[in-house]
Amino acid sequence: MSASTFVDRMRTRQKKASTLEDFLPGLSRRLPDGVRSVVNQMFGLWASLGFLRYLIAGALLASIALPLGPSKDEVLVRTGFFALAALGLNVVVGLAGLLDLGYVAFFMIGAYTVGLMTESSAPVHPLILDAWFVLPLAVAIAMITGIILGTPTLRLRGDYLAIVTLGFHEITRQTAKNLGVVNGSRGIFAIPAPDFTIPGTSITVDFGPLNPELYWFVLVVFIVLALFMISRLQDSRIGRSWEAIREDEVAAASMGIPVVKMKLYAFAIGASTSGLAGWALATKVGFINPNTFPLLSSILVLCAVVIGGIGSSLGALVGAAIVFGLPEMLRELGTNEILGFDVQTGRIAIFGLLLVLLMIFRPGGFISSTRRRAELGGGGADIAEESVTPVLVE
Amino acid sequence: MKRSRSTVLMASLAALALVAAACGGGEEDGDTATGGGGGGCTWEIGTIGALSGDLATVGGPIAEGIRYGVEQANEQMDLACELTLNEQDSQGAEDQAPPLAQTLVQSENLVAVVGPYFSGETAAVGPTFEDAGVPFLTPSATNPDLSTNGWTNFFRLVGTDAQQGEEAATYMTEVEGLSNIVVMHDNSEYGKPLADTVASTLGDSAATVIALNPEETDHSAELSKALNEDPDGIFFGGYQPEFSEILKQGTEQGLDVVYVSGDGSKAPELSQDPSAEGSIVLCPCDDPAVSTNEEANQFAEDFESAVGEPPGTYATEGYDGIQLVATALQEGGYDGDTPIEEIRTGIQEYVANNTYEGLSKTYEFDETGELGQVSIFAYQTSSEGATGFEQLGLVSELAGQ
Amino acid sequence: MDCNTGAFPNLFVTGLILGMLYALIALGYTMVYGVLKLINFAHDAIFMIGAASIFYLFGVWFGLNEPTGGVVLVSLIAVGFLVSGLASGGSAVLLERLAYRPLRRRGAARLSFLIAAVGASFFITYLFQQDFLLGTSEHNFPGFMATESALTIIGAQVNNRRVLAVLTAVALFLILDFFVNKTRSGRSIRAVAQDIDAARLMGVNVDRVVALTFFVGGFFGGIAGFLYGMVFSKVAWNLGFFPGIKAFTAAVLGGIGNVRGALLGGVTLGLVENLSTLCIGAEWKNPIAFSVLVLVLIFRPTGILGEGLSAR
Repeated sequence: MSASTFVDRMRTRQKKASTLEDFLPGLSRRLPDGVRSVVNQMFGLWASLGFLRYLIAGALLASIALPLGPSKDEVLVRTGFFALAALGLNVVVGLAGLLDLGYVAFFMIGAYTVGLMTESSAPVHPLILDAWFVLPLAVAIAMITGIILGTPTLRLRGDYLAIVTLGFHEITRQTAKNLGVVNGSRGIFAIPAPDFTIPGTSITVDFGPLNPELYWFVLVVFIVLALFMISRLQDSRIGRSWEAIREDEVAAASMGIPVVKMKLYAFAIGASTSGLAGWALATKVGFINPNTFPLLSSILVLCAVVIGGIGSSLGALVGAAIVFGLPEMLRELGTNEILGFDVQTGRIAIFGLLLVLLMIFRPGGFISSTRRRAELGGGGADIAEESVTPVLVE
Repeated sequence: MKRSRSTVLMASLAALALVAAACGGGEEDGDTATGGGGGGCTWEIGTIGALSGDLATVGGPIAEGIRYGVEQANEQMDLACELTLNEQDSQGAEDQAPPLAQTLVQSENLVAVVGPYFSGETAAVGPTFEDAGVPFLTPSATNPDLSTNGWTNFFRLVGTDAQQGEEAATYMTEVEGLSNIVVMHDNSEYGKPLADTVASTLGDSAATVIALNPEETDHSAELSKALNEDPDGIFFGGYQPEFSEILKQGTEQGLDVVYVSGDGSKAPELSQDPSAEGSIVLCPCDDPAVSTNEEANQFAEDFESAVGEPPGTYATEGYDGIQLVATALQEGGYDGDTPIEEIRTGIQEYVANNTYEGLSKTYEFDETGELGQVSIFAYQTSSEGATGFEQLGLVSELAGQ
Repeated sequence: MDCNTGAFPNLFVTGLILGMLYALIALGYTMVYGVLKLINFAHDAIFMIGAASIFYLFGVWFGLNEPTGGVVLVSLIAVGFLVSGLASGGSAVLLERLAYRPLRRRGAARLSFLIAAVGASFFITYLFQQDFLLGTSEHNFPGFMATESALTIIGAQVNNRRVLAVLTAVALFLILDFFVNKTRSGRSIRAVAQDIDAARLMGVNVDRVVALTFFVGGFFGGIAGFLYGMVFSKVAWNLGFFPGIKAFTAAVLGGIGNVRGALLGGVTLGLVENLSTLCIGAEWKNPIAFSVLVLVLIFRPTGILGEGLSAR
């Protein structure tokens, strides 16, 4: 072990012991010292659990499904697809600082891979595989598409990337609409749901439409895996490179960080997570067409990431619950309108407003790391004015 | 700075409160759902469709027909239990429908479903109903692929796009005498197959097939291509908003031809713009308010006095669907003690094996759940008509003259 | 591939007209980008507000749905330009004041601006989609100007509404070009575009210049909304979405931040879009338009004429 990796490791250990101050500084300041120290001790305890934390988080997430009952589990599963997607987008937007407005295009590519390669109603099947065996293919193809799109475009300035990805989403969707091999806008029906025979027994777990909670368990496994991988990445050399690029791209490049390559990693990880979510959606719903993946979904996943807290995996999950779960829950309760805003479509207006307000008042989102907040909040060189010579203005 | 921190705190707390309220409320809702139904004896008919949102203009009239059907069935039929309606609003989106279908099949009084209204959502929820053994009768989903899934509980109360397309071609060549027709469509799961069937049935009379993007407003490129064919007719497969745009922009570009569209364009909004006057809309539905059938006219009057507006497109099919289920319940002789699974199976068997004389047509299904015989009506857009249309008659009869 | 050259004249003329409208919308993107280096994603909503304001004032309030002529028509059009321009220009200034200025003050990162702009766009658009505003259905544009065929260019019929749109667009471009290059306010805009800090040190009131830029871009966007609504006889909550993306593409194509580039880019895009349908199905129109965008950005990110209000 070289000295530098050792230092890196030590830094990593130190960073993990978060405090309440990191997440909710306002709340932390208002709490009496005693309460704050108890909470911070709990944070410390949590951090010391190591890998066990992921198992506990998984068990907690999985247990949500049990008291709800199938119809609400469907809502949960739908939220789960997008929570998974939000985790991936968070790597792209939050960790690497790249604004991707066409993220759901990769979701779509993952889903269509499943549609084409399982025994579905698609007119052409390059391969016919079991739903489980398509999983790595869906992830890989989404990732490859991400790399193909990213290689030329990641050299562009950030705001151009936003518009290119937006265009890419539209190209993908329209192409799927026009191509006969994916049955155009009629889409692909009868995508088989996966099943699972417990080894050594004859018990078969069927992930069919009547057992949505089983699907939720599958999603929880994916979410926990993604959480684990992302956290490992964040603490790795790659993660620190992203941090450096986000803070100052020019400085990072001059320090010898391969900027485009690192951005490409983030893009590829995001795309593959999205592809995984697409696999889940296609096998669960069993039916996909181009309209299943509107541009709006890309924007809503972005809303989830931003509202939860840019750069925070936990935030992405909370954001997905607010953006995708909450409106469905309200509708389940029979609330279709709030102050004249339709719950389904009006939420987009409300989330849009929330995006603006958050950027102004709390750029890190509801749950955020101190470090990320500092970056978004100020110090950016591009459009800064007051930072230079505020005294001379007035 | 101070202000911003307190704002943040309040916003966070508000969000937490919202989440807590949603979760707490969710549990309560679950309790009432499991405890519901006790005491009196009721049978529930479910319906899923666009009751609000963008597509409510299409879904609303169907839902009205269904509500009226339940009301009438309770009043006029001798049923052992009271019929109630369990309405679920999907806003027409296939990704929103599956949870609602779950809600329906969990209900212990659910005997059958009349819905969903659109093809996409029907494809998405079909497996749920099929697995649960709940018969579902769609009043308006016309994608031909739906009946190829092997669902035994699926029944379609209207003709498919394929059947409609063939008759549309017959209408244009034989009734209107057109010989050079440009076929356009909106590239949707509904419009494209319809237009393709029309074009293939037309054969040499179809000049070209042109797709347009329904999300855009400007169709000048597509219409320029159409103009170049010097057509005498244009068929459009798609929905009313785009058909309106084609009518407006087409007449402006000098396309002075016969415009024909399918049931997707049969919405009262079509007649609002003067450019639509005289255009033809074909529909496998008998619009009772302007029908030549007197019984249907009577129904339209009763409906209007009860509901407050004339029955819209596919309202009759929704009504017939309810009546058909109610008839199956009556003929089966079930009562409040019959197990719900037995009733569901009984309805499925009754609908599959019997011929029912409905208001808009005779319902007789083949083994895939399709109607054996369909009737397509031709309408002329007219601001004078009660629903924005005047009925010209059955296409088969018009062509036979 | 079956190329259909007979449709060329019609496609050329309609593509040209469409391109002029794109160019007019592109101005809003280009002005703001030139000064702040910010993509104002909310400009599509600002554009829609222009059309909506006319729908409310002329259609709902005054009920001007019967064709008029002569002086009445001319004055109605003039009032229409003013109202739609002020409604959109005002909204753009408000947007800048409420959403972007606090971010500028704090020197926020670029990502924050972009996210705020996307948020603002969706907020305004979906606000108008609610039932208390435009709702989900499409409305007819007030029919105070009858449509009649005005002239025939190389065999293509062009109606009076489209002629009005093209003439207005040309006039507005001449005015703007003069404004940016020859007036005092134009000079301060160019100064801020070139170097925001230097301009401030030289005594330019940066906030006022930024507000002015948003107002001018919004004003032109509003008039574009008015013309777009009238040409296609339609007002709807999502009127701005596709024209917005296309106009942005046009701005990048011509060289974002460059007023003349917006005109060139708009017309080029309109023609590419329509003429591409000569040989390929019209359903490929949008994938082609967006592929052009992606290719231009990869191979010539500064567009045809290069970037910058100041570069000249």
